[in-house]
Amino acid sequence: MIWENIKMAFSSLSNAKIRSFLTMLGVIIGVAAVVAITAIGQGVKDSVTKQVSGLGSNVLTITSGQTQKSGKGGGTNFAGALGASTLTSADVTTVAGLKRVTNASSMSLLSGILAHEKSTAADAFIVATTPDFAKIVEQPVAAGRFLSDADSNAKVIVLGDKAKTDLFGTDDAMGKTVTFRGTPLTVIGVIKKKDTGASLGPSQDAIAYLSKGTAKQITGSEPSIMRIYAKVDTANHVDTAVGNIKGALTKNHGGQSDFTVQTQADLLSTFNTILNLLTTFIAAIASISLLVGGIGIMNIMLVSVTERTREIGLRKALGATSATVLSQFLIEAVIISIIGGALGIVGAIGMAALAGKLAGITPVFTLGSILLAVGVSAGVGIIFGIAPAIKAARKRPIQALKAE
Amino acid sequence: MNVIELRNIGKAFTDRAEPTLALENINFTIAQGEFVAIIGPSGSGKSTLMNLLGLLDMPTSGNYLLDGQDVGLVKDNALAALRRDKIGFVFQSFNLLPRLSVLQNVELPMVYSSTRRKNRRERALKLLDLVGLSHRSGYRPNQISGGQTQRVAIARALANDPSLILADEPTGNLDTKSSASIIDELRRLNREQGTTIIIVTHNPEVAEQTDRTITVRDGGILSDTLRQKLTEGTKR
Repeated sequence: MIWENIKMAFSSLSNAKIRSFLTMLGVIIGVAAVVAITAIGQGVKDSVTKQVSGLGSNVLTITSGQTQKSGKGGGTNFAGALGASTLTSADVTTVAGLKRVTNASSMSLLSGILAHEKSTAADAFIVATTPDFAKIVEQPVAAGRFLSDADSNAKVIVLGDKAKTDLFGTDDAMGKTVTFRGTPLTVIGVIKKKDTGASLGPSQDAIAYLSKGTAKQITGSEPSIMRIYAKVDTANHVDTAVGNIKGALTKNHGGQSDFTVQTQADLLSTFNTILNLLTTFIAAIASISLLVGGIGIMNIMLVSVTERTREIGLRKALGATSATVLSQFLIEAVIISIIGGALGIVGAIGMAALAGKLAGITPVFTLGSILLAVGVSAGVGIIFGIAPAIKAARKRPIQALKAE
Repeated sequence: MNVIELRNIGKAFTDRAEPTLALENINFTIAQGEFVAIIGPSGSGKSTLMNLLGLLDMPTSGNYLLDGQDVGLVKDNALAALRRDKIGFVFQSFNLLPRLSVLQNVELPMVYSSTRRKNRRERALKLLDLVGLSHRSGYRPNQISGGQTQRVAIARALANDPSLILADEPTGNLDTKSSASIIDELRRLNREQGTTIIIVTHNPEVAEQTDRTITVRDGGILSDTLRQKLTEGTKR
């Protein structure tokens, strides 16, 4: 009986192809949007996870200010995050000397623009750091080398791939000069393209590195430390190292823990929390389309029930029970929405691929999200199909047959 | 054995602007194997009577016994089952579902009685053969003539081997020649299969070809006449 109803539903849908398609459209758009957004969200998440874990699970970041609540009346110290850093060079030295810590390096952001002849690298991030930075976060070079101890006061710079391309195009940059705040700097290395895509923070390819000493000479003062990176000997000792750093830095800062030590796992979980929230929010908005689609199905089904009054009457005269008629119309609604859902998934694959290409993200489709989409669209069919189906089932054969 | 027994049947329509008594005090029986015409002008109540006989509507008073069972006590779903198993309908128009093939239309009552697919198909083909239309089984209703449509409807009416066939103006939309062939078909079924047949019509010529005519007027039975059974030789 169910099988007969399914066959009947298909034949009645294929008899009104355009109408069936338009009816499905709402569901198609809704499912496509929801599935594509979750796939893109998952893609971003995977890429960030890869990038962050690429730093190594044994890399710690220390930032100024407290970004996590602790104790009574805690809160976020925005000043710490935005510039007035309390971290000092002495802190870097302290951290580097701690047990379980193999290397420590600092990162300071410098304002200013890099220029070469008429080209500028407007979006380049100029970072002052120490040679040890490459020991913590690997910096494979395409040409030349990274900063070394000998460069601590030298007028040299290492360019990220994008910064190099902005300034020199396809020309060789090695040994050439770029100007930063009036000071000519010689390019001693170009870092390989990292291709991390859009993700956490600026693209690493847009960074240019120079030594802290050099930066001090150019700007006239010790650059404020945005972040300290520390490498722990093994991943198992991360917690011990975090404890050591907290203890030592609190002592350095006169008993105040006005800084935050974050592991890669912390960073990832903060990021994932934000991303999940965003993905859910956008998917929720997209799912409004599913609701609209459902109403569309209900509307068309109600029209169809009225149009098919005589068919219903005839079927009932031939022995169809109310339940049979109910299931016939319900199955029709569910089939419309399931086909809509399937087309929506196909659409989502297209949309996500396109969006992914534009934004440089590889969308990731999970079986879960696809099953959810199919389930939701079937649910939409049932919820919005039930009212028309009940209307059809309630028709009395005599009324139905009399209708013109 | 009486297929139909009506006792003091009445039907009032109270939901209309003016409450109407469409039928009052109807009493008659129809025995197994009879070939009956119910005749009357429009407004006489014959359509109401046909709806009651077909279990498409319920009387407001009296008792209707179908195969000895009082249908007034039967619930909705069981009524659907009675329509399916005991009654074969042939309507004046919109007889076949346009989206189904001729064969599928004949199968439909058997779909509702959950007959196995294979048996269903076999029986439907046999019935189409019986009305001389097995060569049209794959056609759509809009591809065959009006007379053929009614014959398909007759085949369908026989699907679940019902106690009676109820034909509502079966020739209403047909030309004279097709009308004659439909009545012949019904007559033949009655004679060869012993099927009880009731034709509701306003056409006296159709009624003349049956064995018994019940005339309805103003909601009551005006006359109930038995005709001498037509024999093979005198049949037109």
